[in-house]
Amino acid sequence: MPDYTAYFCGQWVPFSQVRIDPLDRGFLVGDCVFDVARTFHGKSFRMREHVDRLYRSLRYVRIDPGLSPDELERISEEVITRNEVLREEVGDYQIWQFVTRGRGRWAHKAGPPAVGVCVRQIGFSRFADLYATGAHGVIVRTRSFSPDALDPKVKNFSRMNFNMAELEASDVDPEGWPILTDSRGNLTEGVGYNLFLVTRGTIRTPGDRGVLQGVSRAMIFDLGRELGIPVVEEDLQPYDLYTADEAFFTSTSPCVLPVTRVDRRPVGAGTPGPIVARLLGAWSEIVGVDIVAQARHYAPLEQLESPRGS
Amino acid sequence: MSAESLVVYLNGEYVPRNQARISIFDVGFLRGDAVFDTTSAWNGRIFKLPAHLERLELSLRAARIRCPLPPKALADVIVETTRRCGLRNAYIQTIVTRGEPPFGVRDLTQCRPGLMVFAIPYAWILGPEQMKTGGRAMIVSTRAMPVQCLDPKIKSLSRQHFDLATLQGKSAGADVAIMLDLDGRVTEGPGFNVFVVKGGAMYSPPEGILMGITRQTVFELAAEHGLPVHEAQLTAYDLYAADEVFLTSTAGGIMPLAEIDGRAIGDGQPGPVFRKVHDLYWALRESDRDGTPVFPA
Repeated sequence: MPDYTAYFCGQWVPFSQVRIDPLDRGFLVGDCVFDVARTFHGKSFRMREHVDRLYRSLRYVRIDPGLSPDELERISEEVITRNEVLREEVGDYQIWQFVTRGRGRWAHKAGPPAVGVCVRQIGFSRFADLYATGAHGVIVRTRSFSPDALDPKVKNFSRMNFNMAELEASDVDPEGWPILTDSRGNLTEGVGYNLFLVTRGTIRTPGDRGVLQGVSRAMIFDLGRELGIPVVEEDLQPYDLYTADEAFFTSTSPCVLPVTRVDRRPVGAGTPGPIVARLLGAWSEIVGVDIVAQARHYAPLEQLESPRGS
Repeated sequence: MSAESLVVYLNGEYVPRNQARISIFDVGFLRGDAVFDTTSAWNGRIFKLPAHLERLELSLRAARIRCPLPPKALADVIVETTRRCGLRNAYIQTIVTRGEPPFGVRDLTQCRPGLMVFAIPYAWILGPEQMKTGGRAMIVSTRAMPVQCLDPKIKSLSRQHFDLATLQGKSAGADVAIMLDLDGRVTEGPGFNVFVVKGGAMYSPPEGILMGITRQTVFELAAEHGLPVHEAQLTAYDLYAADEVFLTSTAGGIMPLAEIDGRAIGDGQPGPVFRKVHDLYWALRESDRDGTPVFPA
């Protein structure tokens, strides 16, 4: 089976060689930052925003990757180009970028960082059906990290709370996608996706205190302007979600996912709403890919085939 | 002991340390979704191995991760890994990751857990000089992980904030970092618990911390030798106003502080209660008590 080509610690290697030294603090302490971009028909989407966010994460955690943002962006584009021949059968790619602290008994003496950039197939099968049915949200009891301890704006590998949240969500609803709150009871985000709701024609989302600065989240503000739909940031509570007309998640791979149930109750009419449809339509037009049709097309192929890069 | 001669137990095999590698899509890496425990060997005996295994079991239960091996077999692997590394004084880490779910599957219960054990030479959080003079600590602005987000009692690999706290302390010239919780109560530092001595009695925070085995050992030694010790909520003030402050960890045992945030603690020297507890602890480590032998007699 051919293997994807990846960038790892200064070299181009088969993806199967991108494996982590368990004594790297990236694993031992979860001391690693990352970002994930995607392509549309093989073309990267807002790559520079992902790279810039990665470098903000790096700055926060005091890791110097030994590469400039320009260099990392070039490498990320080259990863896509080098794997273009294998893209057709999976549709599009995720591009993973990560930087670890490196190996060492003590944080301040650890290094050098391990830098990896690789492609992975999108994983359409996780969400392709949900454009029609809607995802089920569950407000879980595990709280978002406090920015006083470890800021959720940092995209890092210290997120066991996300997996605790996943397990709690599936206890409530086997198809549940977790929705987190902060310690004051305000809605924050999901586990790798941002949360939006629609109330009387206005798109509302938690402010960026204590949530990931999603690239797709920013896209909703742009699309709102283009479509003439107001988008506001404000403190939101579970009440606002239970009483919303529509709700949706944003994330790099699915872009926009309608949420039709929360805590086993219907959101609005309990079916994907018109504003989600308009957002997906406008987004598809901009990237030149029918986002929903592509996911439906490739999801079954993904399941049939033993995937590479995983 | 060169790094090349060390082995790592990885999912059923002993592999040279430099060949041990894990998948980047193991959620133990991707989300720090793994639990661990750290034991230590001194003079060829692993200290309180059953207590460490019990704490690991509780971390696993809280995290809903299954250990691939039953406790007895796991204990054997820990001893065997240390033996193969040829280390009489060792720091031994056991890690159970949740594993990697099948591609495209969101259900984490379908992950196959992974197990890793490695041993490295014993290491002290404070160096030899600081053990004599007392270390310098900084109460950093990075707060402890709130229990409602991820309980510090779970010894998980999601601890980047620990490295950030250490780096914050180091960049300000401190040897170690101490963290407060969101309400300003003293919790712990990266890899150690904290004790304050005031008026002859010892005090240690009760909550929002890892329940350290060395911390527990101090409570046991205190009971045996009639030294007063209590769990108590403490603030930065209590550290500044203490007669003595010391740290406890599997990585170094009992370690004295001389200074916190530019303030001398007591007379700025390691104090008598520290010395007493330190000596009792190391006498215990040198004895046969609570020790699992690594090498055949």
